[in-house]
Amino acid sequence: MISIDLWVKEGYLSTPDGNSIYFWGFSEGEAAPAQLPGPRIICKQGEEVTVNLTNTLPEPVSLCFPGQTGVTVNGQPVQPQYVNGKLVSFTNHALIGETITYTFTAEYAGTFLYESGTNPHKQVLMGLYGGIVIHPADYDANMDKTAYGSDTDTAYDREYLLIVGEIDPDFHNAVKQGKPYSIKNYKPRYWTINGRCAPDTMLKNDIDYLPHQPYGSMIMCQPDEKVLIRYINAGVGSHPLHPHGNHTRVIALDGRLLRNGEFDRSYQRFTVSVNPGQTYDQIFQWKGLNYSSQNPIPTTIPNLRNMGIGDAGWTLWSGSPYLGEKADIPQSIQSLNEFGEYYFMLHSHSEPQLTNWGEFPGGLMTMIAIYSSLNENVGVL
Amino acid sequence: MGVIKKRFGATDGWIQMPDGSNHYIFGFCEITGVPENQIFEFRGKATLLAPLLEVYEGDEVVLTLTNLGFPDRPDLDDTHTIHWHGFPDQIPFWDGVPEASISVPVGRDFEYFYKPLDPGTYIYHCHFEPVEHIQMGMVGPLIVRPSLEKNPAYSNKKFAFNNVATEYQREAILFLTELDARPHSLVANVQEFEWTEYKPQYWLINGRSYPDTVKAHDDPQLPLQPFSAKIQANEGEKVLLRIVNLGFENHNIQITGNHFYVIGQDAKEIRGRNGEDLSYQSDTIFVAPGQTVDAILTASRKGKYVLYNRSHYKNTVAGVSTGGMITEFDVI
Amino acid sequence: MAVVTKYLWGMKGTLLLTGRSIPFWGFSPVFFSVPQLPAPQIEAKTGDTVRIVLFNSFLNPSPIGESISILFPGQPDVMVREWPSGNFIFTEPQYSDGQLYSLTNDIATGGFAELKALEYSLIVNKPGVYLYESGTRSERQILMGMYGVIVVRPEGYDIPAHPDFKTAYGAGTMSEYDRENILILSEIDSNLNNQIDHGDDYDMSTYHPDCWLVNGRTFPATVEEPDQSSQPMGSIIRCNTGDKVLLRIVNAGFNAHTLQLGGLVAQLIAEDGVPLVHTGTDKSYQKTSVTLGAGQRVDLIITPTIPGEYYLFDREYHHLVNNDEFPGGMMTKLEVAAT
Repeated sequence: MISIDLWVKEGYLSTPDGNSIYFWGFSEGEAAPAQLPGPRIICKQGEEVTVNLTNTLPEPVSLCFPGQTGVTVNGQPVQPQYVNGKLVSFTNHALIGETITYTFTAEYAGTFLYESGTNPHKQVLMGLYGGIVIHPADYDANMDKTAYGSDTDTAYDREYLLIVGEIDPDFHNAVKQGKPYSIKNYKPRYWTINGRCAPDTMLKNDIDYLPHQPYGSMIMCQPDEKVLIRYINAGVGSHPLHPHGNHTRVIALDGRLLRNGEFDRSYQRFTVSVNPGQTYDQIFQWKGLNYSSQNPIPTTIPNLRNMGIGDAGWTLWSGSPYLGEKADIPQSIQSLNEFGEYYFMLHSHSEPQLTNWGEFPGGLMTMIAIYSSLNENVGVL
Repeated sequence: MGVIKKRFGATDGWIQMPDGSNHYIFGFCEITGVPENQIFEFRGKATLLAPLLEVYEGDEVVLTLTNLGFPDRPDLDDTHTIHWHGFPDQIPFWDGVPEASISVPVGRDFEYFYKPLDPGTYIYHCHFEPVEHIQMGMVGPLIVRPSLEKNPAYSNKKFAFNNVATEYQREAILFLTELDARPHSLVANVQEFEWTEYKPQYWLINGRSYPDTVKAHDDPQLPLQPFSAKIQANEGEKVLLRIVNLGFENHNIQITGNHFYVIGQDAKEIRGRNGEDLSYQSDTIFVAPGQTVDAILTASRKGKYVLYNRSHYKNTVAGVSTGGMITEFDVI
Repeated sequence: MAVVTKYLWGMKGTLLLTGRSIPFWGFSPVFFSVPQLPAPQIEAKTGDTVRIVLFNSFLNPSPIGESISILFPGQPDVMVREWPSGNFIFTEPQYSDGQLYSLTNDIATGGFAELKALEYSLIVNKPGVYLYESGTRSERQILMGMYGVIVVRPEGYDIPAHPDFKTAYGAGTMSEYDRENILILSEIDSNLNNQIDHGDDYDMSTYHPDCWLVNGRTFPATVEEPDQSSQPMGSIIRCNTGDKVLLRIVNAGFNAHTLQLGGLVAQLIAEDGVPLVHTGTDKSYQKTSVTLGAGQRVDLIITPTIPGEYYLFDREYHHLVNNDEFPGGMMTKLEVAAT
C-alpha cells in the first residue's frame, strides 16, 4: 500500500525566454512547492493507492483517475458533485482548505493520468495534472523488467515518462488577476514536456532555478537497449511526437496492452499522434550502423570551419561521426557533448509547437542520448 | 543494388495559387550532374515539392546538398540540412539536425549517405529552424522500393513492401501541406513571423491547390510546382496511394464512391510483433503531421471520383472558392 | 431485403444553443416543418436498398436558396434519378463551366409548387454507422448542419433466436449489446453560420468554433429528454450495472474530437464501420478515451459495474463551456442503476 499527500498550490513556471508564468500545481506536502507536472505516483499492480488531497486554492479541487477502477472516497464510490443542481466536479472534491482522501487498487499495470475534475477547463489547463506509472505485479527493478508482466513481450532496459502540455500565458495571467478570459480563444504560446519548454527539457531533474519544474526529459540509453517511453498528453491539443533515430513500437494505449491472447496488435510508428488525455507506451531501440574509426563512414568529413555548427550558440555534437569519440569543433561554439554520445531529437511535428512564443528552438522538444556506456541506474522510475 | 549519387541545391523560388496569388518559398532543386560553373543558374528555382527521391532497398545513396543561397533574400545566410524522416538506425552525422550535427552554409556542400533497408513511404525535409524551413517549402517525397521487385519471379510487378499481397499497378503520391501566406510574405520582406499565430489559408496536395492539383506534371504555368496529384487507373487496377502529411495540422482524407485499404504506416507494413496482419479497410484516413500512410485504392468502376479533406473548409482557396486539398481520380 | 425510403427537405432553421439563436441549414423528414440537427436517423439492414428522396424547394417554407445534395461517404455505387420516374444512373461529381461545385448529383432550387425531387438509391452491404451529408459546397452546407447518420444493422439483429440478435456487426464480432446510444459530435462557428445564412461575405479559413455539440445540443440540454424541436435528440445514456452499453460515436464536425468516457474503460469493437473482431481474429482493444478525426466513427462497448453517474466529455476541456461558462458544450452523461 502506498499513501501520497498532494497539496494544491499556486506557483510560478519559468520559460527559457525569461517569462515567469503563474500556475496551479500539486506539491508533495505542505512544505514543498507546487510543481508541473504533479508528483509522479509510482506503484505496483495490486497495490492499494491512497491519495490525500489538500486544497489551498480559492475554489474546490478534485482528482480524476481515468482508467482506474473502483476509486472511492471515504469508502464510497466517487460521484459527480453539484451545487444548486449545477455540475461543479466530475468527482468528489475538496472544498477550500479541506483534505479529501481517494483510494483505489492499481488493478492494471500501465501509464495513466491524474488530473483535476473540477472546472477542468480552468484547473487542468492551469497545471493540475500528473502521471501514474503502475509496474506489473512481478516487477523487480533489479531483474528483467517488463511494462506489463512476464509473457507480455514488453521487456525493457530503461524507462522514461514524458507528460506533454500547453500553456497560454494570457489565460494564466487572467486567472492570476481574477479577470475574465474567453476560453474559446485559448491559444497556447508554450508547449511543455514534463512542465518544461525546450531547451530546459534537456536539463537534469531538480535544477535549483526550476523549483516548480523538477523533471527533465532527456532520454538516455545505450545502443541495442530497449527503452520504454511512456507518453501522457495532459493538454488539450494533439501532439504528433516524432523521435529521430528509429521508429517506436507502440505496445499499449491508455494503460491497456495491445494484445489479445496470442494476438499481438502492437504497431510501429515514426510519429505517434499523442491526443488529449491519452497515454502511449512504446519501445524505442537504436542499434546503429556500427560505424567506428575502424569501420569508417563512406563519405568525407568536411573541414568543420566551413560548416554550420551550433547556430544557437551551442551544439550537442561531439565533432565526430562515431559513437564514443570526440573531435575538435570550432572553439567559438559551446559543446554540450560529454563522452561522444549521439543525440537524436524527439519533437512534435506540428512545428509551431517547437517554439517558445514563436521562437525556435523551444517547446515540445527533447533529445534521445545514446551513450556507448551508461550507468544502469539511469532511466529507472 | 546500385550506388546512387544525387545532388540537391537549396535555394528559394515563387509558387502560385489558383487565386493568382504568388508566394515566396524556400526549397530544393535537383542539380545532379550539373557542371560546377552552371549550378548557380539554379538559384531561385526551388520547387514545391522538392524533387522525388526514389531508391531501392539495399541501394547506397550519396546525396550531396549544396546551399545555393536565396537570390531574393541575399541578406539571409541560413544554413540548411536534409533530414531523412523515419530512416531507421540513423547516425546523427547524416540525420540533418543542426543542433546535433552539421548544417550547410551558403556556398558549401555536404554529403549524406544512406543505405535504406526498409521499403516504404518516407519524407525528407530541411531541419534548420524547421518550423520556418518546412513551412517555407523545404519538403520532399522519398520512396524506398522493395527488393521483391528485383526478384525475377516478379519481373514487371510493383509492390509496396516485400509481400506479394501488397502488389499494385499504379501509384500516386499525395503529399499534404498547408500554406499560411503571412510568413511567406513576411520572410520575403525581411520580417519575422510569430509562429504560434500559424493559421493557414491554403491547403495543398503535392504543392498545389485544386484545381491546379489535377493539371499535368510539369505544367508550364506552374514552373516550380511540378507535381500533379491527379490519379488515373483502369477499371480493376490497384492504385497505391502514398499519403504524406508534412503540414502542421491533422488531415482526414475521403474519396467519393470508394474506400481505402490501409497497408502501411510510417514506412512499415502494419504488423504486430509476430507478423500479425493489422492492415485494415477504412473510408477515412486520419494522418497526423509527420506521418505517412500507404493505402490501396481499387479502381472499381469507370467514372470520375473526387478525393477530398473531410474538414471541408480545407477544400477552399483562401477560405472562399472550391479548391484546396482536393484531387480527382479518373477510372477509365 | 427491404427497400427503406426516406423523404427529406433541405431547409433553413434556427438552433437554440448556449442561450442564443443560431441559424442553421438541415434536413426535415416532412414538408412544411423544421429541419433537424442532426438530420433524421436512417435505419436499414444489411442488403437493404436505401432510397432518399430529396426535395429542395417544393412545399418548403424556408428553402436554403441554393443547390443541395446528399453524399454517402464510404458507400460505393450510389445511384440517382429524377424522382419519381427517371432512370437511375451512378452519381458523379458535378461541374459548372469546368468548376467542381458538388461532390455528387445535386438538386437546384425551384418553385414552391414545383414538384421536383432527386432520389438517391444505394444498397447498404455492410453493417455500421455511416454519415450522410451535403456534397454540394460542403464546406458551407455541412458546416451549416446538413449531416446525419445511416445505421446499418446485421440481418438478424432484431430476431431473438438469431445469432445476430442485439449485435452491431453480427455473430462472431464481439458486438453484443444490451443498450445502444449514438453520439454525433460536431461544432459550430456561430459567426460563420450567421454570415453564411445572411449571404454575407465570409472566409472559411477563419473557422473558429464557439459551440460544441453532442447530437445537436450542448450540455446541459444534452441530458434533457427528446422533443419536437430542431434539436430533437438528447444523448443521456441509461443502463444497469453489468449491461453492455454500445456507444456509436460519430464525428460529423470538421475538427478532431476526443471523447473521454467518464473514467471508464471501453472495448473498441469497430472503426469507421469495420468490425475489429471477425473470422476468429480479435483486433479489438481498450481505451479510456477515443480521438476521432473529421468523418470518423468508432463503436465501443462499456460494461459499467458500479452504479452512479459518469460524464462523457470532449477531453479538449475548453470545449466544455457555453459562452465561456463551465459546464456546457460537448458533454453528456451515463447513468448506471444498480441491477
